[in-house]
Amino acid sequence: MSDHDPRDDRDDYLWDGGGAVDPDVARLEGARSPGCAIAARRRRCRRARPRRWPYAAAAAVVAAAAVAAVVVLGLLRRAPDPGPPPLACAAPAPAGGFRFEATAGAPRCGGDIVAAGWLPVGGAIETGRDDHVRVQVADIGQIELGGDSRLALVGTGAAEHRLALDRGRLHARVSAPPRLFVIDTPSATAVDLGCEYDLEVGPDGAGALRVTSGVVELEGHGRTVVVPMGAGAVTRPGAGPGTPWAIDAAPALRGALARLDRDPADPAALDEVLRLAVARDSVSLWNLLAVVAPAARGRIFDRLAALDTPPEWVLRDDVVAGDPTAIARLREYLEGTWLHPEVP
Amino acid sequence: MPAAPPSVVDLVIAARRGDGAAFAHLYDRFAAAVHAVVLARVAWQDCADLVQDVFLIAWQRLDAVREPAAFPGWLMTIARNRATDHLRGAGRAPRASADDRVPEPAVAPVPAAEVREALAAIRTLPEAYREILLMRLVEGLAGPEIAERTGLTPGSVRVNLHRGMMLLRDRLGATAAGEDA
Repeated sequence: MSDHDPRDDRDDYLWDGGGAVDPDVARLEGARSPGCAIAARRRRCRRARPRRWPYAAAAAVVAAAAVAAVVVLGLLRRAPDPGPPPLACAAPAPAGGFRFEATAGAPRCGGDIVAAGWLPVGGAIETGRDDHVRVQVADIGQIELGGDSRLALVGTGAAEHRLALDRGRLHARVSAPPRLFVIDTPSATAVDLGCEYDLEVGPDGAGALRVTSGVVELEGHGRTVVVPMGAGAVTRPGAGPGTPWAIDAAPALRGALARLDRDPADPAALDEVLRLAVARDSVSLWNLLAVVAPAARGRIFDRLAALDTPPEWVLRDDVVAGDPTAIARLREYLEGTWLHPEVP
Repeated sequence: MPAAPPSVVDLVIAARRGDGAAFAHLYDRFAAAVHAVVLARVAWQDCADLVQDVFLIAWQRLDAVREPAAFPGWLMTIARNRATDHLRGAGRAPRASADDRVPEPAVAPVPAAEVREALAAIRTLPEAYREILLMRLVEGLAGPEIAERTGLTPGSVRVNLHRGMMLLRDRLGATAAGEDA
């Protein structure tokens, strides 16, 4: 008897038209043009071509833009001399920078009190206890920097915007492709995968992250954890990020996770995690797969499967063997629950 | 060997320099996805004009995209906003489906009424599933193409297709059961 599950093929058909035809999908595909229901298989069915881009309208826009450019250039030529060079944070730096404004208090940038200006690459904003600063991160989002904080701009470009939170706290809201926005802290690096989160760094360099939308990866000291919305994690100097937990996870579960972070081979801690874990804790269970031994991975997979039937395309044996592809696919599946908890 | 198609980033950079042909390439590549995003919200017969509006806005504001890689998500946001504005102006409920005058082909494998029913069912799904299912089922985009057009990861698209299709089967099944009763 074959182990092949025909549902795998049906999912392939939904994905890219490959595999066995899923009759429900084919029927719905057939709605878009006559005769397409079966021909759509293997991408032979061409969709209707969209209308062409209206060149005439575009040319009119270009012409209008050219006229505007001529007018602006004329005005610039008549502008007076700018005077002496501005302060480091008072104007855009040649190497790029982020615009910021104080919404409370009197923050410092470049050693001076600056109410509004540009955070240059290599520069830093420092806030006092009652200060609050809003930083515009290119065109992808904003950072709200709280009191007693220091935020530096490490670099900005098409491939990455990187900042460093040396101390204090911030709230970041970003809408951008994954990995474009990165914040270093003394004990871990937060890599944005499209989201909103709070990040805090204490005087000793330890950090805390809470994600309110999307997903953040925390990296440091050889470990990477995935923290989706509704979850948090702590980072420790010299140890990197700990296992994430749901914001409303039971305190006893968080305690057991902390023990596992110190010693991933602690059998009593693993027993307690598996006993206490409920559906919301799948984020903790999945992240543990990367640090525990194969036998423990099997027990974790079984607990996850008991909480939410895993998809047919993720095999237990592959997860137990530590196959990164299988573990990644399991994460992709679980992300649906993490990011859309309202969907059954 | 045929040359690889230009990347979205290259096309955006060229279009920002005023290259109309590059923008036409972007239009060809993204029109179906924009149509799906709009169709998730407004009646079928209004979609074609709205798609044109979305690209006209994009062309006028292309300089605002400082990261060319962010173009797909930026364009989809314009499409969602334009569709919402259209509904606001027309004073119509966003999920109205009775207005959908679905084109009736000469030899239709699926009756237009059934298409309307499927469209109405898709519009009741969460947004994350709605747009992606329309891209796959109505626009005929494959999963990897949807990922490129939306800026989502292929894994995320695959999972959302899978879950969205499960929900859609349930909703269409429930409708059919209700009619049979």
